Amino acid sequence: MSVKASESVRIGERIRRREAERLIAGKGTFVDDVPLAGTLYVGFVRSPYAHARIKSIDARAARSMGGVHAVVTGDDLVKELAEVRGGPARHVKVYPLAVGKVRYVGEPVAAVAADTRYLAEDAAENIAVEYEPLPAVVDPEKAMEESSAKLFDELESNIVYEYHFSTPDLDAVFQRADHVFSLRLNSHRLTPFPMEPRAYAAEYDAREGTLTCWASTAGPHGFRTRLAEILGFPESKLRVIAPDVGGSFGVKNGGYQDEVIVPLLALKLGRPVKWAETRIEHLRSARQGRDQIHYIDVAVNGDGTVVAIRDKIIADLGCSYGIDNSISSAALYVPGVYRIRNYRVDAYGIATNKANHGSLRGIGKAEAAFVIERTMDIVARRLGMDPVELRKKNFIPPEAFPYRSVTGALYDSGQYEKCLDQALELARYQQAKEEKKRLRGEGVYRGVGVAFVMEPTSSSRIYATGGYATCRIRIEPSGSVTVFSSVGDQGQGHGTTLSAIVASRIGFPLDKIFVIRGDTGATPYGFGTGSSRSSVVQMNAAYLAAERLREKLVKIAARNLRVPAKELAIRDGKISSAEDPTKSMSLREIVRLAYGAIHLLPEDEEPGLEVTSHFINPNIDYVADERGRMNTFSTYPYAAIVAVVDVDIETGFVKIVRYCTVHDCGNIINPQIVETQHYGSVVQGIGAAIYEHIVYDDEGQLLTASLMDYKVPTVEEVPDIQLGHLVTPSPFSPLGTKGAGETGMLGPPPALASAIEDALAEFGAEIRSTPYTPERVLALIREARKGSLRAGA
Amino acid sequence: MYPAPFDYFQPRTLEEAVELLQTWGESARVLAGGQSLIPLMKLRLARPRCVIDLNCVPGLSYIREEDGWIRVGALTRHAEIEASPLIRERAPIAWQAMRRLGDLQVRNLGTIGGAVVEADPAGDWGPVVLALDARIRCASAKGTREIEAKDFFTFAYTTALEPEEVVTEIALRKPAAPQRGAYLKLERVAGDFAVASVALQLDLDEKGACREVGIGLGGAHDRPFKPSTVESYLRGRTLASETVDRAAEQIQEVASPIGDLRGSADYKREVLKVLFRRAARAALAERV
Repeated sequence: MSVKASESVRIGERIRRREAERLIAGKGTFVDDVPLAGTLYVGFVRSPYAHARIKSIDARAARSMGGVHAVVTGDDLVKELAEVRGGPARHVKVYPLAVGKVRYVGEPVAAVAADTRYLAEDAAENIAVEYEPLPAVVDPEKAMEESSAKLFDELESNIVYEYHFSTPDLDAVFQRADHVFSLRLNSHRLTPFPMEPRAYAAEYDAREGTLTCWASTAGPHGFRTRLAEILGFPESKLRVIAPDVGGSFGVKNGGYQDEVIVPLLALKLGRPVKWAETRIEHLRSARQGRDQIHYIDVAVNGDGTVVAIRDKIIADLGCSYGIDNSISSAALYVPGVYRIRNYRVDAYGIATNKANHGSLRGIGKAEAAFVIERTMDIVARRLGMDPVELRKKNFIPPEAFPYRSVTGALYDSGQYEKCLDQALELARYQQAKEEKKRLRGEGVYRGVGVAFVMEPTSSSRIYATGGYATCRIRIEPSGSVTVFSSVGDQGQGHGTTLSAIVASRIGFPLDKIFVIRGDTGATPYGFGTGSSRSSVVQMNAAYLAAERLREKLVKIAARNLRVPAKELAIRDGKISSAEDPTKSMSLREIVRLAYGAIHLLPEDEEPGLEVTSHFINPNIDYVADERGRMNTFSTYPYAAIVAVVDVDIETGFVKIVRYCTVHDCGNIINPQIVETQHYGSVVQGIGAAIYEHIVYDDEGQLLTASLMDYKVPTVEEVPDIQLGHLVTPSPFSPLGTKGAGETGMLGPPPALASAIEDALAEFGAEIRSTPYTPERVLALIREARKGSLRAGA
Repeated sequence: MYPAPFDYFQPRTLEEAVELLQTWGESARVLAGGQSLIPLMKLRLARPRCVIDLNCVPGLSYIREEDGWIRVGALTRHAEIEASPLIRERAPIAWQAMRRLGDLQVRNLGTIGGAVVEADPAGDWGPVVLALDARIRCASAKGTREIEAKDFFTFAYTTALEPEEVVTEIALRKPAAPQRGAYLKLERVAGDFAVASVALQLDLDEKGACREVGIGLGGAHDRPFKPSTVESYLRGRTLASETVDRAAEQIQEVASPIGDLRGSADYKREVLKVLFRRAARAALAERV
């Protein structure tokens, strides 16, 4: 089904974000802005140790302070709460506050509710916790050894997750191959870094027996279900509201150990309670991502055809207090955009004494993209081939789509070579290569790099992400339109996109359309925003609901105008006959009739104008086949990148001269939104490639606990980004959309590595791990020089 | 991000301020622009019992030229210094440093006095006041005194200031040849503290020999660091490229940086050498 230009707004039209002005003017309402009279504030006691046994907690002094209303500890909670779901391998019970042991610096140990946040922090300082420090488990590879200290006494080892997959006769393929290269590649630990850290507020209405929670979350419905289960409170009496949410990038998806504390205290105390996480708390205890080591063997024929890959993944999952899909997402997608039919992966998820590891924009797939793209570049260099040609030689060709990958993933559509060519053209690739030669003569070390990344989007996993979205639309009797979205918004601009889709179908002007989201009291149940699912499942659900409403409006008009429905079209606020324009009814009249004069409705139509539609992720396998193959994502957007950098070989500093990228997210609903998301995504990827780094020392102390030390790129680090679109509609949805907003972040780590290596080609430097800090780049040059000296001697 | 309890005073005169300091001594902290003190208090790393806010004390914010000195009031904001034509023309290395200090918000509130007293080994003001041989004027209930910049910084975040004293003015020695200077800084992202920084101010005689030289280094030591031996080596010499290289190597040798997340000690030494060479080249360049 194609999208036709129709009524008041066209899908694909560039529309300014309706939400932007309010947010830019500082008029947003975030959780901390929600006014609640008589609020108490929460402060946490957090573990100063990475790994320790809790010997005792003495809260007497804190309890006796004026203005302190409650102190709770893990032991209190064990008595009254169900455990938090999703501990490692689901064998370990996890509670909102540490019980018996702490497993990372910053783990909540006790919570205080007090009249002010200042007082809550003072009281938390007055709680004496006696710890018995245990050896910290920090290095995931050492953590796998039998001699290592263990995080969980209940488990046999620190290996809390395994995934294995292999095609038959892999060893034989390796033996026959002309070349085999082995590499150790790793992506370092990051934090997703939304502008707004986590925040919760709650208020219990004793007369009604209702508990209302405000949460800075990407999934209010899921939070409500978890609250009901953990607190043992009827879900029907719970309402969760995610007001304006200041970004998530994965960090606000899914549950948190401590998330029930605020509602629990509100219930206990009968007063509103609030907690807004500080940045330091966030850096210490919010989920982190990307931390994977890959030992990869690649078998290549003399002509550059990659015939097989063998990968061993060691993923540092930190304290492992929740479900983490990063390993399987990496393991299933290492072959990426290349036609590789022989593949084996052995993946191990390791518990360490660090904050929990979990989703981060591009989860798993970013690690996979880094691994395969680094491999392509290094193979090309070692074989003396052009990295562009090597990629083209191995690309899945356009006629192979929909393409079933070696791991069972079903890629919906793609034109990889065309996309790469478009990026080369956008970057004036040949010219850039020549300029590089000229600049070398002037002492400038310029590099031109390429990368090609794919970001499977809109995941469906049993009990985790549902795999569908729901949209309810009501045309109100007075003529405005309310859209109830099961999916929320953390800055993506869904209010604008959903309104445009609805407007395009029912012909109402944009300013009459209002989107309600993030409120479980009003919206259909749903699994939250993540995995770029909104443009796949939510937008299509809205499209289907709006289309049904359009049909109903037309049918009502047909009956009352006594003309066949197929003659009628919606235009300028009216439904009129194409044959006889005098036969016309205003939309306003039809709406009034639908509610108030139901004897004039067609016989088979129900009263009112309210429709609910679902869209289910297409092509999903919920269980693997007998060989472990499965498809867990529904659409496969991708991007080609050409990056141009200058490397200061005396200091190691990298300056990004130009960053050119062409991406394909299928049909575009609103280019303004797709482009701005892509720019932001690229900048976040640049942060991941060069600046951002979560660092723990050997004792498991977090060294990057504030913005003094965790560096995010500023506007001055943002290079000239040139963005081009290629549109290959997904054949599996009415709108032909794919996920947008994540491919951008996947690009910089491989693209900048490629460019830096190219700049340093004369030294023969090879980049095998992120990030590319100046000191590491300088070390790379030095080692490469030493290596070539040795080779010369 | 919630400070421990403290008392707050807002004196209206300098006399009142130094009396408060006399009373509270070490348990007091002076608030100027608040760009270091407030974050430290929010982290509860600083827990003063009393905060003395200087912002209502008149007469502490000015930039004026006076008998060979550029006198800058301690409460003068970085942004005001950045915008001052006098600074830009007469002490351009200070102007260059201000362009790189923090971000707009920090520069709008942060003060020269606060930054100098903070004595961050990787701060921007330390190298500049050292290269310009500044004098730091302090006041207490007992009177006033001046401390030379080279004697002012005693350790990381530690100065020769007594607990009862407050800095009132920083007097920058007006360079004889303002354009013969450079401030170069390596920073992880814009506005960060320095990985390493070099402030250099030269005065050459008609034969190109070095009549006077001032060097200040950031990220080079446990304090803002003045490599006096390198200054002595350069004095009287013509700055041929071998001489500059030799001085750069000496800087690498005398530097004793603290290794941290901005870079290891070895890396900082290495890039200090590179930065010094580049600063010398910039200072020696013929400008039109």
